[in-house]
Amino acid sequence: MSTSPKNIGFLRKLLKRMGRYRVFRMARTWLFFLFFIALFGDFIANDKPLFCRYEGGVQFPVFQEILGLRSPFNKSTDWDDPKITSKIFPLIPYHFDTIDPLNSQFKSPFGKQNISSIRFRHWLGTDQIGRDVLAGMIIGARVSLVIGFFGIGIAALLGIFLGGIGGYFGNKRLKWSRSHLVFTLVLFVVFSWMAYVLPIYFGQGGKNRTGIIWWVLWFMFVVFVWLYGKVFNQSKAVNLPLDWMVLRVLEVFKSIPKLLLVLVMGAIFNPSVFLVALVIGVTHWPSITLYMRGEMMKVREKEYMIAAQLQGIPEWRVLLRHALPNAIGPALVAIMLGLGSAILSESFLSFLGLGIPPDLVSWGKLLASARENISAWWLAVFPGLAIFLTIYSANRIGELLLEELKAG
Amino acid sequence: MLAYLFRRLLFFIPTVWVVSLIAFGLSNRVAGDRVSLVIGDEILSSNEKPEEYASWLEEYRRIATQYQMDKPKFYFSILPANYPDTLYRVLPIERQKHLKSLLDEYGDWALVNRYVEQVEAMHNTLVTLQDRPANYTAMNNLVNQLGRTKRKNEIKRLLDSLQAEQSQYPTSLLAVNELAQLFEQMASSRRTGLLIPKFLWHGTANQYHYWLSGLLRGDLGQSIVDKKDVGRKIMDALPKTLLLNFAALIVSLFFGFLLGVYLAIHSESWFSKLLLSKIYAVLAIPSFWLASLLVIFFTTSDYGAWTNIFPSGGYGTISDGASFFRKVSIRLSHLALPVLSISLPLIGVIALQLRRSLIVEMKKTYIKIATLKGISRRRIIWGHGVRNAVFPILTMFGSLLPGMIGGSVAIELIFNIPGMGLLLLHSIYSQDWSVVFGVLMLTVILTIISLLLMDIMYVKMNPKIRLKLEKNA
Repeated sequence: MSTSPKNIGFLRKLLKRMGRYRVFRMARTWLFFLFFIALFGDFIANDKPLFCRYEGGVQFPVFQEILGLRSPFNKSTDWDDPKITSKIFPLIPYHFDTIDPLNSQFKSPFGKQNISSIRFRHWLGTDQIGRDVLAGMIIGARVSLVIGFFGIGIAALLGIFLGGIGGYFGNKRLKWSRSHLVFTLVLFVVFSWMAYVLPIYFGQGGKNRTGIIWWVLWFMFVVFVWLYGKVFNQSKAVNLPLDWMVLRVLEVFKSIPKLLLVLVMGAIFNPSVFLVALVIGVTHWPSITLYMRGEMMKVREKEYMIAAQLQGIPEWRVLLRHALPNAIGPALVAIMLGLGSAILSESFLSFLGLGIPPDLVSWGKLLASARENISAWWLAVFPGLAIFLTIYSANRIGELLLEELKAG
Repeated sequence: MLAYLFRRLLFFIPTVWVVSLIAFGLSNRVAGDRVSLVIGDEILSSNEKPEEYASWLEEYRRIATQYQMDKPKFYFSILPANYPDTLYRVLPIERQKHLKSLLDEYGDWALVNRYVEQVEAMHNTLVTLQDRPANYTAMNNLVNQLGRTKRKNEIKRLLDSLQAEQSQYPTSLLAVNELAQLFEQMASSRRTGLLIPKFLWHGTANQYHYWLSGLLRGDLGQSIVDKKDVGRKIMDALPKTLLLNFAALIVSLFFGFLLGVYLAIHSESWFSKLLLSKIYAVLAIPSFWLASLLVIFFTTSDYGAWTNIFPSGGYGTISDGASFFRKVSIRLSHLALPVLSISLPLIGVIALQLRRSLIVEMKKTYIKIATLKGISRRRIIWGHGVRNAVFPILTMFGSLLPGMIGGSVAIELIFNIPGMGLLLLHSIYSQDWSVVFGVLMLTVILTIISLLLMDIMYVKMNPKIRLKLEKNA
C-alpha cells in the first residue's frame, strides 16, 4: 500500500478506478437496483391501485397509505367495486400478503394460472395459500437489505473502533495516570449501578425513562473523567495494554461458531428487525477488527505519523485525521465481505423461522416455504437466486477492492 | 514445544469460562419458568380451590428444588438495600416477580410482603365462602386483578370498586378497609433504599456453580421435553454431525487441493481463468439454498425418471443383518447430497487459498534449484511447492471449522439428518433451553479444541516456527 497520506477522497478515486471492471459495474448495478426496489417496493408491488377515481374524486391509494394521508379506503376495500373506476395498478398488482384464492396450492410460473388477464399473472408462481412470489421478493428485499446494512454498520463501528485503538496504541503507547485510571474505574462501577437503579427509581407508575437516564449518565461519565484529567494530573503513569484486551475478547468470539450464536440469540430475543441487526453486528465485528488492527499497526510506524506527532498535533487528532483514513482500506474490504455474510445470516435465520416478526417477509422466509412442497421449485430457486446475487455482488466488490488496494 | 502447548492450554481455560458465563447469562435471559413448562400453570390464572393450589405448589417446589431454582443465580449478588436477602427463595417465580415489581414501585419490603399476603388471604377467604354472594364473580375478578397489578392508580381503583361491591351487604365479608390502610401506608413509604447497593455473598450453593460443575462432570441436566439426559441426547446426535462434517471436509480437501494446484500451475490458461471466475460465484452460494435445490431436483421424479436418484432425506436405517457393502451404500446414498452442499463452497475456498499461496511459492528460488537438479515436475509441485503453500490453509481452517458446524444446522434440517443441528433447532422450537445451551457449550469446546489442534499442527509442520519456539524456550 502506498505510503503517502491520503484523505477520504481517495475512496472516490478508488471506486472510479474500479469502474473499469465489468464485474464491479454489474455488482454495483445490482446493489443499486436493490436499493431502488427496497425504497420503492410498495409502488412496484401492491394490491392497491396507484391511481383511481372514486365518487367523482381522484385518489392515489398507495401514496395515501404510505404518507398516512386521509383516504376513503381501508384494508377491507374491495377494489373490484364498480364505484372505483379508471384504476391504474402497479407493475405487480399484488402485495406480499395478498392472497389470491383462485391461484392457491402452488401455481407454477410456467403453468396455467386462473387469471383474468396477463396483467394479473403470477410471474414467479404462488405459494400454498396463493401469495405471489415476485411480490414477496420485492417487499422482502427491504428487510434483507436493511438488516444486512444496519447489521454490518454496527459491526463496522465496533470493529473500526476496537481494531483502531488496539492497533494504534498497542500494549505500550496508551499511558494513563494511575489515579485517573482508578478514578475512572470507580466512577464506571458507580455509574453502572446508577444505570441499573435510576430507571427503576424514576420509573414509578410505569414511566419509562431508561433512554434519557442512560444518555445523561453517559454524558456525565465522560465529563467527569475529562475534568479529573484536567484538574489532577500528577500521579505516575501506567501502561494500558489495550491491544492485549482487544485480542482476548476476539479470542472468545472466535471460538463461538458465528451462525450458532446468531441462531441462539435470534431464538432468545423477541423477533424484531432491530435486534436481528444488532445480533448480526455483535457477531460480525471480529474480522473487521483484525483487518483494522493489522493495518493500523503498519500505519503507526510510518514516517508521516512520527512527523505529525513531532509537530505536537494532539494524539486524538493524529489518530482520527492521520492514522484512521490511511488504515481504513483493508477494513473496507472486510466490511464488504461481511455485508455478504450479514445478508446470509439474516436469510439463514429467517429460513429457520427465527428472527424477524411473522408479519414481515424476507428472502429467507420465502425460501423456507419451499420446504412445504418440494415440487414447487420456484419457491426455492428465485428467492435463493436473489440472496446469491446479493452476496456475490458484495463479495466481488470486496475482493476487487482488496486487489486495487494491493496495487496501490 | 511443550511450553508452547502449555501456554495455549492456559488460554483455553479462561475462554471456556467466559463463554460459559455468556451462555449462562443468555440462558437466564430466556429461562422463564421451567417448572411451569413441565407441570403447567393454568392454576395461577383460575385458582378456585385452595387445596388444589397447595398440592400444585408442593409439586412446583419439588421440581424447582430438583432444578436448583430455589438457589441464588451466582456466587454473589448486588442488590438494592431494600431487597430482602432471600428473595430468590420465593416460589413460584410468578409470585417472586410480582413481589419484585411491587418492591420497585413502593420500596418497603415489610409492607409489600404484608400487602401481598393480605391480598392472598382475601382471595382464600373469598373462594372458601360457604354461601357465595350474588356478585361473587365480580369480586373474585377484582381480587385476582389486585394480585397482579402494581400501579398505584389501578390498585386504588380496584380497592374502591371492591368496597362498592361489598357495601351491598350488611356484614363485611372481606377486610378491604384494612387492606386499603396498608396500601396507603405502603404508597407513602420511602424508596431511597432502592438507590443504595448491598453486596451479598452466596458461596458455592448457586445455580451457576451447579451448572458449571455439572458441565465439567459431563452432566448437562435434563431435557424438559422427554425427560431424557441432555448428555445422552447430544451423544446420540453428535456422531451423525461429525460423520457428515468430516466427510464433507475430506471431500472438499481432496477436490480443493486438486483444483487449487491446477489453477496455480496453469494460471495462464483460458480454462483456468474461466474456472477461477466461476469459483467466486460458487463461494457465494448459500449452502442451504444449494441443499434446497438438490432436494428439489434430485430426490423426486417430477423432472423425468432419472432425477429420482437419491433418497429424500433422513440418515438411513440399517437393518441388523445387512452386509458391509449394503451398509456403506445406504450411508453413501443418504449422505451424498448433504456432503455435496456443505463441501461445494469449501472446495472453492480451499482452491482459491491454495492457488494464491502456491503461485507465490512456485516463483521462489528453491523451486528453480529443484528444477535445475532435475527433480520431476510432479515431485516439485506436490513435494516442495504444495508443502510450503499449505500453511495459510491451516490457519484458515481455524475459522472454517466453526462455520461448518453452524452451517450444517440448516443442512441437517433440510435433509432431516438427526444430528446436533437438528437437535438444536428442535430444542429451540420447543424452548428446551438446557439442551440448547448444552449443545452451544459443547460446540464451543469442540471448536476450541480443534483450533488448538490446528495450532499445534501448524507449529509441528512449520520448521521455521518450531525452531523459533525451541530457541525461545
